[in-house]
Amino acid sequence: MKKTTLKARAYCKRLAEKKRVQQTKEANIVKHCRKSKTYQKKPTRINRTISAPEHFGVYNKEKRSVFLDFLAQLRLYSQKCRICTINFHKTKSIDSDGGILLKAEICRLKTIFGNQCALRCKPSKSNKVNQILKQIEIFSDLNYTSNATLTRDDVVHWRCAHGNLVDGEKYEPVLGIYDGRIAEEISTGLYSTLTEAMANSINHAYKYKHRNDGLKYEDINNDWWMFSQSHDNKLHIAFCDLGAGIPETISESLPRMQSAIKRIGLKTDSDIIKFATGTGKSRTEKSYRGKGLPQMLRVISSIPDGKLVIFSNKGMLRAIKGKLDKHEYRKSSILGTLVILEIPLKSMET
Amino acid sequence: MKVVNIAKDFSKYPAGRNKADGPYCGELFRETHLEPSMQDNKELTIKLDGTRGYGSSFLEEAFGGLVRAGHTPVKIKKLITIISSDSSLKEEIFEYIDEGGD
Repeated sequence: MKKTTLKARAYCKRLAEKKRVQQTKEANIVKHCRKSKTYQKKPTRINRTISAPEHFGVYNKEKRSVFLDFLAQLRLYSQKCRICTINFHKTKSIDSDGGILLKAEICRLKTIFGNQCALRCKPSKSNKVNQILKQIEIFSDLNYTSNATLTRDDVVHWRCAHGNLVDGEKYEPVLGIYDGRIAEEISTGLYSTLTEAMANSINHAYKYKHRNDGLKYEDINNDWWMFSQSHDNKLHIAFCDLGAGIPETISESLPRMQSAIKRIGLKTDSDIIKFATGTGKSRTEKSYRGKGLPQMLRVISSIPDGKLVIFSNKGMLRAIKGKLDKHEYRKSSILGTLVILEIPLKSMET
Repeated sequence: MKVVNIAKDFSKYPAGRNKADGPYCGELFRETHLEPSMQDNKELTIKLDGTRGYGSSFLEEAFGGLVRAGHTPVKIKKLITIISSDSSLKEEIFEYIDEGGD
């Protein structure tokens, strides 16, 4: 029998020791996770880096699919890894709809996994993207200290708010700065629209079903997020929640509507969103309740050049100049509800 | 006659239906400002101007909720006077009062 050399024996010993250390580390993580209330699955890796997509947005079908796949990957690795790093290196643009969804997803994952998974990031090679990530506090959410200086006019006007109540005071930091650039009747309409969106999140989005994201996490916070930004004399507002989505909750909150939806033969999410915006029925089946979505539509339709887009799960409904059109993204769901409002601003000179 | 200026006497940010929704909801406004006058059969003037706006949940719970609390639409309309520069708000409130018991 061939004798092993001293060198080979030392190598085997080092290998065994390395394996033992690795096993101990993994065992410690599992032990830590089991102690945590949010334990989901045994972490399989210690560390993982996810490459963020070039474009963050949900309008374009292809780009939406890549972006939502990235969010799914982020959820998966947050569940499995001890440290999950988002590499923004390739990211070239962030729309308000993509930015708010990323912000919301990160907040939610931090709430679910806490210290079990540390979310980190690497910056983009695009200075504008880094400025946006700093301005909307995604960098600080990911414990990254950025030295990007906020100089760009299309970045410094981004504002964000997060809450879990119907709290009208949250209007001020996001939209109060536009007083004088929005007609008063539009401003009051926006306030009522946004507070109704908050009420919808709290009373419907999280109430009946869990979000179908595989995390099996029961939301008790009723969180919503709101962004605003101005660009080309237009004010863009994004509002989102990560609940079960309008198509899932409407039949639960309004059982009688469920039969109406079946009778009419509405099958797609976009059909159901459209149906929801045209009804005055509510959770309690009484005509006086649940007027939030129709009110949004009414307010935006009354504003010349106003635009409303509602994304919920796979569906999208858009209202421009009183005309409605819908679209179904068959393969990709945003797993929540996102409302985009666009209204014209008076120019600074007037 | 008692006058309630919502922006000054309640909040510049009225929003939401029930107390679980938020701090300045329709239920709280009804309980603190509307029902005491209704119980005493006293006339009340409500001034709506000066707030950031009104969501339908707030208005419905505040005014439609009076009907569900046992007051008739006729009595409510007789005792409460609404003052607003936006006439559509007044119409909306009367609609909620008429439909409040449905």
